[in-house]
Amino acid sequence: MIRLDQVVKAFDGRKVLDGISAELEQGRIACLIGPSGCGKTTLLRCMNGLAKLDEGAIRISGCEISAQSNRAELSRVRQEVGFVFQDFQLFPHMTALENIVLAPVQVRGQARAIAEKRGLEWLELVGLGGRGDARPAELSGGQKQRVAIARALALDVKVLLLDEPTSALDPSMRQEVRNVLRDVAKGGLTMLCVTHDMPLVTTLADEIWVLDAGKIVERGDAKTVLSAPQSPVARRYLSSKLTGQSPPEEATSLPQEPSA
Amino acid sequence: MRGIWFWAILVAFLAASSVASARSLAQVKKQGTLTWGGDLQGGEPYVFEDPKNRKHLIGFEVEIADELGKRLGVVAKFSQHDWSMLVPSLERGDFDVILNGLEDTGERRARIALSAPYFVYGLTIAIRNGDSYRSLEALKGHKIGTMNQTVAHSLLKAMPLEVVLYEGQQEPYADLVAGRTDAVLLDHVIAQRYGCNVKGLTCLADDVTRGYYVMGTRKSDDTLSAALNEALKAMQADGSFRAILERWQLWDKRQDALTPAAAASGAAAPAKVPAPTAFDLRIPDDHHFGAEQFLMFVKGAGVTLALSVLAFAIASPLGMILALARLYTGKIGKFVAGSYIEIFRGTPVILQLYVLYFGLAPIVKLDAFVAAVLGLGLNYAAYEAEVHRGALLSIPSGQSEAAAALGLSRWQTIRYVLMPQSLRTALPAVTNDFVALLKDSSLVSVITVVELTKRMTIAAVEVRDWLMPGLACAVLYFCLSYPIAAFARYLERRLEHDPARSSGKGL
Repeated sequence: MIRLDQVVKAFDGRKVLDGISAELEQGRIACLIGPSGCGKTTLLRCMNGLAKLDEGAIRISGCEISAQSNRAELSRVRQEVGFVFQDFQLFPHMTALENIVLAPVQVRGQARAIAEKRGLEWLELVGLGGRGDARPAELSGGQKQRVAIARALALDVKVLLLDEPTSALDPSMRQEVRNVLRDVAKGGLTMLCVTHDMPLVTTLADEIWVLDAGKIVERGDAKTVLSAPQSPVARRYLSSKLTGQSPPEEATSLPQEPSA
Repeated sequence: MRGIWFWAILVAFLAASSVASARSLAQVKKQGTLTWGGDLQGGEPYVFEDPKNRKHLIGFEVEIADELGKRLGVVAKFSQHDWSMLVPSLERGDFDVILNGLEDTGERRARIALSAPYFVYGLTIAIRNGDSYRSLEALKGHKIGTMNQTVAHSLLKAMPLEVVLYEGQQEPYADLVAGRTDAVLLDHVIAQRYGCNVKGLTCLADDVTRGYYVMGTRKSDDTLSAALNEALKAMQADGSFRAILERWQLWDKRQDALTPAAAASGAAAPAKVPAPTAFDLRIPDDHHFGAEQFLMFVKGAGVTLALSVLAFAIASPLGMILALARLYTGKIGKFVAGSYIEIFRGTPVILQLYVLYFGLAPIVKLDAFVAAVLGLGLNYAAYEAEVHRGALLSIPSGQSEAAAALGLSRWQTIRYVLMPQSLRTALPAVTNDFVALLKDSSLVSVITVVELTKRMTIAAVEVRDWLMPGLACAVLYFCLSYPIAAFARYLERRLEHDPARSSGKGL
């Protein structure tokens, strides 16, 4: 379902992704962890064309992305792959429901009535039935992220990419988002989730990819990696996470990258 | 405290102006200068800059002034003023005498002291070659161009025809050639130099009427006006005056009426010069600023509002298109939009109006109102473009990424995500620009559109009062702009508290 083949991405000559190869089976959920600045978010952005890769190829949901991909090809990928942002990026001038039906109506050409009926079902799924008319500003952070998840799913995607979906939230709101993602995962979606949120990892992950300095240093079954990490990076990272010390990464994200 | 200052300044101002206005012959002689007022814009042959030496003024009125000064034993000194402001400026005490094609009218006679005539002018009709009008009568119901505040204007106003007013003497003839008017009525001096010699135009041989150019002084300066009259008489008697007019090719049959020799000898029958009373357009007693005038003002305000609304209907969408082109198109689109914005922002709107109306006339003959709407609209589009560009740039980049991630095309992203947000941000600034446009629209009077401010200046000259028409005009502008400004403030307040906006900042 997802296949990465020697993916390279550089900013100003510095390789942020340095030859990444990996694959994720259909219906599996991988959490991508690693120290801040190791390239996790960039990898995710390359996978739906928000960042352009320099070398290598990505095969995702039946589409191919390479350095030569043009706008039309990227647009097709984006329709097949849902993306959830750390800071939600709901459209503030639209209601929750309008956020959700925008792409089905405008991109897929669905009839508005049908799209809205389905949009309400998506809202129901993320526990926000009845809040369809609310503007983003009237929603809490957790609710916003749940709307954003519904919006990403509304194109009937098979793959969902999540970029630190809980890190912008108060601890009290993280649990509701974790629960929603757990429910969503039951639908057989393939998911790749960048996160520092260990409870989310334990809730979701079938497997864990550990990234460091642009390379995958460890990849394996979630339970195995969590209980017996092989690489020093994973050991160091997980121990700092599990003892709850020095989690400065959570507050910061990668510097702003130019979009594709 | 404030009130005291206001009165102190007012008193000081009045004192200063009364000192200035108390100049008379004795003071002119004491100072050694005779200051005379005129407008260089009147051009050849009155008073204008010597093409060979821009610092040097020439013209038949310069020579008359110099000669008059010589005879009074003082130096003549020129003082530049807008022609339409010469009488008020004289009254303010800015100079001693008006010597600049000032016509003898009852209206002026009632206000300032007028000298004996020094020149006979004839009002000349210019028409396009091939047109069959032979008299003013025949032009009833047609469009006739003339200059604001001239005797020709007063004459035409009383007739059932449409008067088109200009500020300069070349534009009326340019518009006649372009076919925007059917005739031009102006002094023969102007007609001969700016109209009759223009290709495609003909001047009718018969003067519509004749009148005198006179000098004007303050009524209080009776000794000065007597001395000027005496000097003028002497010049006319010894032939030096005729020599000046001949040098400027202004001596013609019309001037015979002013030659004492000719009149005295009785050899030649004096040319028929109608007595000044023939067009002594005295201000009627009921000629004060009243309801009828105010109604005209309201109409003027209507023109101003229509102009502004229509111009903005062009400026706003065009501005948005320019902003989008400057931000989201390729090299060529960016270059075109950028050039448009810089050119229209970087040159005065009044220049753009002139080019659009007069400059393009040989190619496209735009109606004055259409040209005004277009000119203001195209100019303001440049400003609106920058407002919209700023508003679009203020949207967090995450918003376009989110739209892209949903598979929206660039245009769909702009249409559904960026534009609705940027319009909210831009609204207060846009409303503000609309108020500015409302006031800038007064500039279009240069291309003959009579809107509120022009209506005010016309009325002010007519009733000889600037205060009441000025106040009425201000009140009307306020009535137009205040609701818009209040609406802008309301929007600003609302958007500030609008939850939809505060979350747009992202995180």
